Parts: sequence; C-alpha cells; structure tokens
Amino acid sequence: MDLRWNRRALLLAGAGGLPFWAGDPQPVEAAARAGGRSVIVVFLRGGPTQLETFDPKPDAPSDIRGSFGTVATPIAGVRFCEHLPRLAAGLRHIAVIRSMTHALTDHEAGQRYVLTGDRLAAPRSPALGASFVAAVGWRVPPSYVAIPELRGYAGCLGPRYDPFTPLGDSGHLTLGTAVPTGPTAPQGFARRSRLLETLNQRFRTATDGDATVEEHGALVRRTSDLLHSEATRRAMNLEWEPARTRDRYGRTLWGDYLLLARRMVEAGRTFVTVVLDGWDTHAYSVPALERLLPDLDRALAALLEDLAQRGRLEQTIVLVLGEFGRTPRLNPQGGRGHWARAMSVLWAGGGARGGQVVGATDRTASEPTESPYSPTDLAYTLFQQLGVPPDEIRVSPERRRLFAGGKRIRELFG
Amino acid sequence: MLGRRPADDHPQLVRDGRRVQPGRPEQSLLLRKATLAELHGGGRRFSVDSPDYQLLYRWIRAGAPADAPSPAQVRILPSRVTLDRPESRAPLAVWATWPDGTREEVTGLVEFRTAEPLEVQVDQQGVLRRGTRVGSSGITAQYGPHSAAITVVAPGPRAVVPRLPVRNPIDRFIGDRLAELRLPPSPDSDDREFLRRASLDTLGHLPSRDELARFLADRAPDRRARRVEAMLQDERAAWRWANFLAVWSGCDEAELRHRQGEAGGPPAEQLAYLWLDWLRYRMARDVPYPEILRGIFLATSREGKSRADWERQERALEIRMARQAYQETLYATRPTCDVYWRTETHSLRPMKCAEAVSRRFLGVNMDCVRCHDHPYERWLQSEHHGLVDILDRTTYMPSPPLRFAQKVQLALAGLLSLGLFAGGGALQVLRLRRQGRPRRAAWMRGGWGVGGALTLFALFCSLYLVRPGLPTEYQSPGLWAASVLEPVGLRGAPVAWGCGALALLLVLGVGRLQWNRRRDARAAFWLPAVGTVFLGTCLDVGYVVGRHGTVDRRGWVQVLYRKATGGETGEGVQRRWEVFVLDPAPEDRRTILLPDGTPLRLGTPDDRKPFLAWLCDPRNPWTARNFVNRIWAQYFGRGLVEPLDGLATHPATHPELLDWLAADFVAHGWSLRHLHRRILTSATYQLASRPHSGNRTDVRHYARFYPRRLSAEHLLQAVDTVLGTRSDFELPLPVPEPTVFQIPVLSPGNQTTAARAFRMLGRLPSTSDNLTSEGVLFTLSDKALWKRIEEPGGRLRRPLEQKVAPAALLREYYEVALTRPPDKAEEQAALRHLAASPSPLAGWQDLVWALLNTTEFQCQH
Repeated sequence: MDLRWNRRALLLAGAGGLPFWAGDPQPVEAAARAGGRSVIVVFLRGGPTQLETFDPKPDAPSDIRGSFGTVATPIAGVRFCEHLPRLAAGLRHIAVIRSMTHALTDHEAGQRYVLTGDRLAAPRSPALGASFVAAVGWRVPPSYVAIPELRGYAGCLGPRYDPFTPLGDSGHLTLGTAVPTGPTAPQGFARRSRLLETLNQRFRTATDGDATVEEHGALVRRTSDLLHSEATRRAMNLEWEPARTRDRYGRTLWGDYLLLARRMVEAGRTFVTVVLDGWDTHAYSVPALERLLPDLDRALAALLEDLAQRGRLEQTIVLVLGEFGRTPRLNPQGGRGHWARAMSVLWAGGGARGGQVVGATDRTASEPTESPYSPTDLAYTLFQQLGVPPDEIRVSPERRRLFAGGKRIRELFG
Repeated sequence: MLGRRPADDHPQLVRDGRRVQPGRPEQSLLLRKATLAELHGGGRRFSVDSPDYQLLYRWIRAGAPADAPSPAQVRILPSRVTLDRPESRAPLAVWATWPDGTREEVTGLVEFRTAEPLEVQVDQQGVLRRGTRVGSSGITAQYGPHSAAITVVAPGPRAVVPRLPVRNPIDRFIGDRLAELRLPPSPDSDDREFLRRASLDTLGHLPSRDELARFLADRAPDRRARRVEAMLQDERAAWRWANFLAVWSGCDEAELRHRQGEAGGPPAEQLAYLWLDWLRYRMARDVPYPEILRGIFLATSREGKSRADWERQERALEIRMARQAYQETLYATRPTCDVYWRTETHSLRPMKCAEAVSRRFLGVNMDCVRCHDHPYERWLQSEHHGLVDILDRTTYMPSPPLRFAQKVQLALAGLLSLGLFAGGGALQVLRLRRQGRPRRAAWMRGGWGVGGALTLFALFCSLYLVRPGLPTEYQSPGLWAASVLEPVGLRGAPVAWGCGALALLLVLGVGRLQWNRRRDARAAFWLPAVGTVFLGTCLDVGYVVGRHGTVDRRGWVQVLYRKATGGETGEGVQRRWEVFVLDPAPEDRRTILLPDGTPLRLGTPDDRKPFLAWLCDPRNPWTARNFVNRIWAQYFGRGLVEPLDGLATHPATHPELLDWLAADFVAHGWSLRHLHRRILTSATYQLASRPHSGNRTDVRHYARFYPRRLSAEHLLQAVDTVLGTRSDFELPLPVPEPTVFQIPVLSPGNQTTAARAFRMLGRLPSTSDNLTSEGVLFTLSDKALWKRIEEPGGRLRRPLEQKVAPAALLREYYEVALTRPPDKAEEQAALRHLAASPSPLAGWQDLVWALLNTTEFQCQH
C-alpha cells in the first residue's frame, strides 16, 4: 500500500461525517490481515553499550570487559551484565539478537535508521509506528503512542501520522489523572466540539480541499475524539493499577512509562514507542550505568513478566534497542564511543521463541561472527509478525520500498 | 564517486586496493556497494546482471585504466519537451561532444533524475512520462562528473486560461509559467483577506478593528500599496523581521544558555534579547543587508576599544539589564553583534560553525561534503575545510592574556616608579644631610615621606603615560611585580602570604623605629600614611601574584571586602569572556579556494574580512539569492528553491524569477524594505487562497495563495490579540509599546523558551512544518489558555458586565480573529450555543475557545 496521504479518502471521510481514518487506504482488510498484534518498542536513546548489557565478554581484557561482572541466565553459557539480574532470570521470554549491525554512527542518522527501518535513513521516512498506522488504520484508543514523545518522525506521511503523546510539559499525564477540567472537561465537551466543527465548516468549504486545511481539520477531529475517549483516559490513568503492580515496575519514571505502555496495549491494538534517554555514555560510564541499568532491569523485567502472566505476550511484540552499540575498548575517560558494527537487541513475544540467543559477536563484541542482521531486517520481520506484508510498505513520492533488501530473522521463530 | 574531477577520483579509487581489485573484480567495494552486497549510504545503484555491472567489471578486470577522455560538452536533446496529453511519452537522447569535435550518443550510460516525480517521471532509458500533477520538472542527465539539464513541462488540459494580472515584474515570471502550464490562477483576494494576510506576514499581528475599518473605507485604487508602505514603516514590522532574522541567524536561547554556562555573564534570555534588539534596530532603519552581515561577521566584543573601555561598557550594560532599564543605546547601536559568536564559536566544533554559516548565509548545505566530495555537490571537501579555517580563529573565551610586549611595558613602568621612588628619597636625604642633620634622622624623616609622595606621583604618571590597553584599575605595583615573578615560577598562595607577611613586618618595623626616635606629632601623621600605602602595595603584590598572575583582579580592597563578607574567596576574580580573533599562527598562512574559484589568502589579522568581502560582492552567486529565497519562503510558505539550504544542488522552481529578485534586491541597495514591497505588492502574493478545480493540486507554481498554519510566534501573538491579554513571558526586559512581536526567540527544540511562552503554544515548533499533532492537542486542551479567555482585563469580561448584545460582541470577536463578520449560519449556531449554555460566561468561553481552534484562525491564508 502506498503511504502517501490520500486526499480523496480524506474528503470522502469528511463528507460522510465519518472519522477521517475510516477513509484510510484499505484499513479494514489490513486490520483483518494483521492478526491484531501490538508493539512496544523500548528505545534506549543514545546508544546503549552491548558489553555492559546483553553481550558481556567476561574473558576479555579489562579495557574491553569494563568493570562490571556478569550474571548467569537459565541458558548455559549465556551471561548478562551483573546489573540485569531480573532480565537474566526472565530470559525465557526473550530472544537476544546479538548480531545486529549497521554503519551509521551518528546519533541522528542512527536513530532515523533504527526507528524507521529505512536503510537510507532518509529524513522524510516515516517511523515504524507511522507505517503501522498507515497500514492498519487509526483507532481510538490511539493506535500509535509515544512515551514521553517522539517528534519529527511522521516523515512524508504528514503530521496526521504523528504519535499521540500523552505526557505534558512537566511530565504529568495530559489526560491520565482524575477528571479533566478546563476545555476538555467531560460536561460540555461534546457541545464545544460540535460548535467548533460548525465554525470550521465555512472555511473548509471556502478552501475547497486544500491539503493544509484538510490536514488541520483532520488533526482537530482526531484529537477531539481522543480527548472524548473514556477508554483512553482510563488507559492512561495509572491510578487504576493495583499498588502491587506499580511496586513491581519500581515506581520510577521508566517504570511508569512501561506500565503506561502496557495499559495502552491492553486498551486496543497499539504501536507504543517508549523512549528511555541517557545511554550516550562517552565518559565516566560506571556511575551512569549503575543508575540506568537497575532501573531498566526492574521495569523491563516487570513488563515482560506482567505481559506473560496476563497471557498477552503472544499478542504483543516487545523490542528493546538503541541506535547503535558502543566501542569495544574503553576510552581514557572511562566511557565508550559510538559503534554500530555490533549491537544487541531484545525481542520478546509476538510468536518468537524466548530463551534463545540469535547470532554472536567476536571476542571483543566488535563484529558479528554469525548471522548478522540489520535494522531493516528487524523492521521487515516486525511487520511480517504484525501481518503486514513488509514489501508493500512504500514511501512517496517515488514509491520506494521502505524495507528494500530486508530479510526475515528466521532464528527467532525456529 | 568522490567528486567531480575524474583526474582526482581515479587515484582515490585504485589506491587502497579495496575499492578496485583487478585480481578479483567481484570483490571490489565499488561493485559490492553499488549492488548492495555491502551497506551503502547511496542505496542500490544496479544489479549484478545489469550492463552497468558488466561494464564496470570489465574495466576493473582490465586493471582500471585511467585513460578515459573527458567530454567537452554533454547535451540533452530535445532541449525543451512538452508532454501535452496524459499518455504522452517522449524519449530523450544524450549526446557527448569529445574534445576532438566528434559526437557520440551516451544515452545508455547516463543517469537520469527528475526533480519532481509527481509531475514528470523519467526512466533510466530516458523516456519521459507525465506524473499525476500538472507542472514541470527539471530533468538532469549525469554522465560521470558532467551533467546536463532540461525543463520538461506537463501542462493542464487545453482551455482558455485567464492570465495573472501583472502588477510588478514578479507577476510576469509567475504568470508566464502559469500560462505555459495552462494553470488558471485563482482570482484576486478580497480586501479583508489581503489585510489579514499582509498584516500577519509583515507585522506579525492580526489587523485591529480600527485598521480594518479604515482600510475598508478607503476606496482609492492604490490603497493596498499605501497600506503596504504604512506597514513597512511600522515599528512592529521591525520586531517581526528581527525575530525572523534572529531565529535564522541561530539565536537560540537554549544554545546560548549552554554556552553561557561556562562563561558566566548575563543570562541567556538577556543575550537573546540583545541579539533581537540589535537586529530590530537595523530593521527599523532599513539597514542594507551587507551591513547587517558585516555587523554579525566582523563582530568582536571590544570593537577596537581598549579593554578598560569595553569592560566599563559591559558592566554598565549588565547593571542596566539587571535593573530592567535597558535602552537601545546600550547594545543595539553597537556596530557589531558579538552575541552571534557567543553561540557560534566553540573550540570543539569549528566545523559546525562553518556549516551553519554556509547554510544560513549562502543557502548551501554541507552535510555530505563534510566527509567526502560528492558528485552532485558544487562544494568540495577542501573548500569546506577552507571555510572552517576562516572562522576557526574567532573565539569566545576569557580575554586573551597579555602579550610579551605588554608585559615588558608593564615591567618598565614598574621600574620607572621604583626609580622615582628611590631617586626622590635619595634627593631628600641629600638635602637633609646638607642641612646638617644626622644621617639617621635624614633617612628617617625625609626619605620615606617624600619618597612615598613621589611614588604616588610616579604611579599616576606611569598609569597614564604607559597604557598597554589595560584598565587603569588593573595597573599597580602588584601587577608589575607579578609580570616579573610569574615567568620565573613564583605564584600561588605561598607567595601571596609571603608578600603580605613581609608587608606587615616592614610596616611594624618601620613604625617601631620611627616611634622610638621621635615621639612627636609629625610621626603620628606619617606613620599611618606611609604604613597604609606600603601595606596596600604589598598586599596588592601578594594578591596579584597569588591569584592569577597577570591580569584579572580588582585590587586589594576587593580582597579585603571579600574576606570580610565571606564572599567568593576561593574563586578569585574570573577573566571576563569576550569574542576576539586569535593571532594567526605561522601554519595559518595559506591560500584557499572559495567554492566559485576565488582564491583567498589566510593568515591576516582577521580572515573574516576578505571572506565577508566575497560574501557581499554582488557577483557572489549565492548570498543574495539565498536571502531572497528565505524571505520568499516567509511569505509563501515555500522557497523558490527547496530545501532552503539546497541552493547549490537543487533547482529553483522559477530560476529566472529567483535571479531577477536577487538582482533587483542588490540593485536597490540590498534594501529589505524594497524586497518586502516587491513581494507584497505583486499580484502573485495577493491571489485568493481559494482553489478551483483547475489549480487545486498545484503546490509550487503559485496559481493561488497556499494556506499554512501560523508559526508559534504568530499564533501566540494572534491569541493575545483576540483575548485582549498579554502573555507574560518573563521577558528579560519590559517591551516598549506598541505591543511587539512577542516571543523573544522561539526555536525548535528550545524547551525553556517554549515553557516560558506561557506553556501555551507549548511545543509548537517555529519551523516551516508548523502543523503538528502536539500543537493541535495543545490548543484544544490547554487549561491556561482556557482560563485566559475569561481573564479579568481581557476582551470578554467588560462587555459581559455591560450586557453588550451578543451579536455585536460576536461580530467584534470575528472581526478581530478572522478579519470578517460572522455569516448567518455561524451567527445562528453561536447564538444557539449561547442560549443553551448554563451561563453567558460559560457560553462565551466555549465560543471563543472554538474560535481559537478553528482552522481559519490558526492558518495564514
């Protein structure tokens, strides 16, 4: 399907008074084919080190090994960093891809590659979530959520394909807490929205299908519907969660993010991108990682365990990745530089066999030695598991295949 | 692959034995990357079974010989193509002319590219087809480093198409293109639409009701031109365009804060404000563009002043800023804007600085060229490095240390005063001895006193006679001593304490001697006098030597004060940061080539000067075109060249118009006001935004005015106008009336300013992509905005209290927000809503909220 925004569909949708996404290209068929899986992408922004997370090299010299020890996992011979004991214990849900590799060591370019799956990391390429929405359609509760935010990744699809961003300026939930007041207060909101719709009519007719005007109108309607949605509000309110569950996630910011992600996934078929920042550890990485790793360990392990207990892991794909790995050798400042030749990615759920390691790296975790895969392959596999033929994802204007040259990561499902 | 000079490419290709491997051609990176067997940033160029692959394979197997002659010329035939009907096809042929005059068809060997695939498509055999839109596109054929381009037109259906009226030459260019494409232009905008559009673009403000009424009452045929003229003279226009120039030239509060963190000095929001005001001052006076560039480019903090004068000036500025008593004479009237370099120079990133200069002032993006020459780029990597070198020596750092010559001067001054001290004392002693006083009495009574007086005299003499550009308060015996002691390694706290102790001992010793000899009134006078001078001098020496060595200290009084108040005793006095140009090192002396081939000699005292001269030369291929392109984009929502920094690589939609606009701009003394006037008075700008069936799909030929969402600054200002409130940005300084274009500087990613901007437009970026889902969510749901609708003192409260008729109030809101009265349907809907509301206030709050969220309000159209 072509991801180019379809004005005719939009007009039809608007004219019929339907929500505009009903006019998206083939949403119904696509949804039917899609098998209903959701996605949680946990994006570790900054480029997490592979050596101090999922691919430690305990036998390497100390300037490569780093100062952390390792911890055993249920699989013989597979070890994680000592600060990830819960994930190590929960490895049965996880497939670790240790041989992810690419060549873009710039943050901007690397993020663009990893988050879009586009080998060219073109600035107008849409993020995976935007492609997902374009393929399966938009619904309320929102089909595409970014926590806390992911800006500038709708690409050629336009702002209509931006994720819904539930967190406000100071980190508070825009909708999540209590009963909303102000313009979005439930009493009268429907009337207000209708009034707005009426006042919009004249200009809309006057500009007669202008792209910007239509896009704005569509965004307003989409956002109003979100603000209306009791289900969305409920999903975003963490207060509904039992205290025990919240404790399990750690009651940290990251824990709340991941818990929120789980609630969004439960509320409907959703692509959630959670951005956990702070992994660009160029210098003095030990204290930084001692802070980051336990937070991640607790929250992520809780998420996987929670999903598994609720029987949702089959229907939910959890991906954990950064834009690249880090240099095998520690620098004199006690950190590591950018290194894209080898990085580790976690895949859990969505039909993948947990408790396995895919690929391997050499003695210094600098190059993959078996079954190297690229982020394009990862995106390709992801969309296959979502039931969307990845070859049909194209970007305008030249209708280029977004995941051209991608191949399935077979080991995950073997 | 590496550049556009085959002679340079070849050695690069064959040298390392990886790219080209004649023994194993299939292992050559050249082939592996092009077929995507290896990762390749440029994607797949051809497949293994293509003729291209075979040709390259054979060439590599033959040892990659470098004997390819270069064609003298490459041409595409036919040179102009019109694809008249939907199913039209047209084959292209590319001919190379060799140096010996023979011609050869190379169609199969070139790479074809289309600039607008939605309008014209081309396949690799050179066959043209129409796209889905009416329009035209440049088609480029790339033969090695040589390229040729033609324009292909895909016009609309045959019909009689109305001509765009010609009000000034811009319309000729636009109208010719529209006629050629058979795109019918929309009709002229009506007066209300024009006034709203022009006010927002020129002033950054919605027109007030008065302005609207006056404009509508004016029926003279030249009313638009006169209105444009009046707006261009308006103070608000200066603020609005200064804001644009500030954002464009890189004024980013977050960035300033980041840099200023190391430097101390005024807070970032104040610096951003100074930058803005400096530009505003020039906008108000229509200063020619090269003058503005000069002020930015050749900026130094001191501007040739002595350090003392500069520091005085800085301190005065800081104090006035802190007291909220800034006046334009404190910064805006300065010849140069040194704040620019406070963000732009960074010892770690001269490269980014050079790239920013190129992007902003030349419209040339250097992302590719940073690492390697690129076949499609006009700049080479070496030229990029040259630009880096030009700007590299401009720094923002603590003031430069004293040069050797200055230290010698200082030492001489010190010696002079010591000599005077000794000489004066000796003379006095001699005089007393001649009077027959005993030796000891002569020394004690005469020497010290007169010597001390002469010392003071000598000090002042030396201060004003020998001024090596140091602030006077910094010149002291301590400083001189420091300049002598420091080079031999005597510095730090022990020296300071030693000096202090010595001073105390001497004073006590002398005092005791004096007191013992003559217990009289004269001694009682001399003792404290001499003691104070002596103690002060010695403490001064100690402090200077102990702290910083040569330059930065504010004298011993301050030390005592700090000790007494428990102030920053540990830190010492920091050297003030300033923008200056480092002296050239011997290796800086070299000649570089600018991208158009102009040689430039580096290693002069300020290399920015010759670069600026090149930049402002009317023959410079980019400067003027870049600027008019950016201004054009402000008015029309898209540049004649897109992206805006693609001037060297991307074709213009209307090349002749761009050239003419640039030439016209230069010919009229680089006057911004003239440029604005040209655009604002053109029929093109004044077209209605309403499309009709013939031009709805047009997005770049200007058959109508394209609506676009207002930028954050505009929207914020417009909301204020409608609500009758004023956003409190905690501006560093009170803004003069009339209300100006308010957000000081809001730039993408600038969280803090955005937050300060009443968390209102929260996170609206002020980029060309103004439409974001977050922005829409924000205006729909923000509580602060909701509350401000009924804020006391706003537009709503008073009419409600006075029970103004709803229809009249509605009309007022509509005229302010949308520059038009409500139509019947709208009025009915609004009144119905009011009638059904629990209270008038609640009803009006809903109504105004809805008005602020309408597309019509949030768009420029």
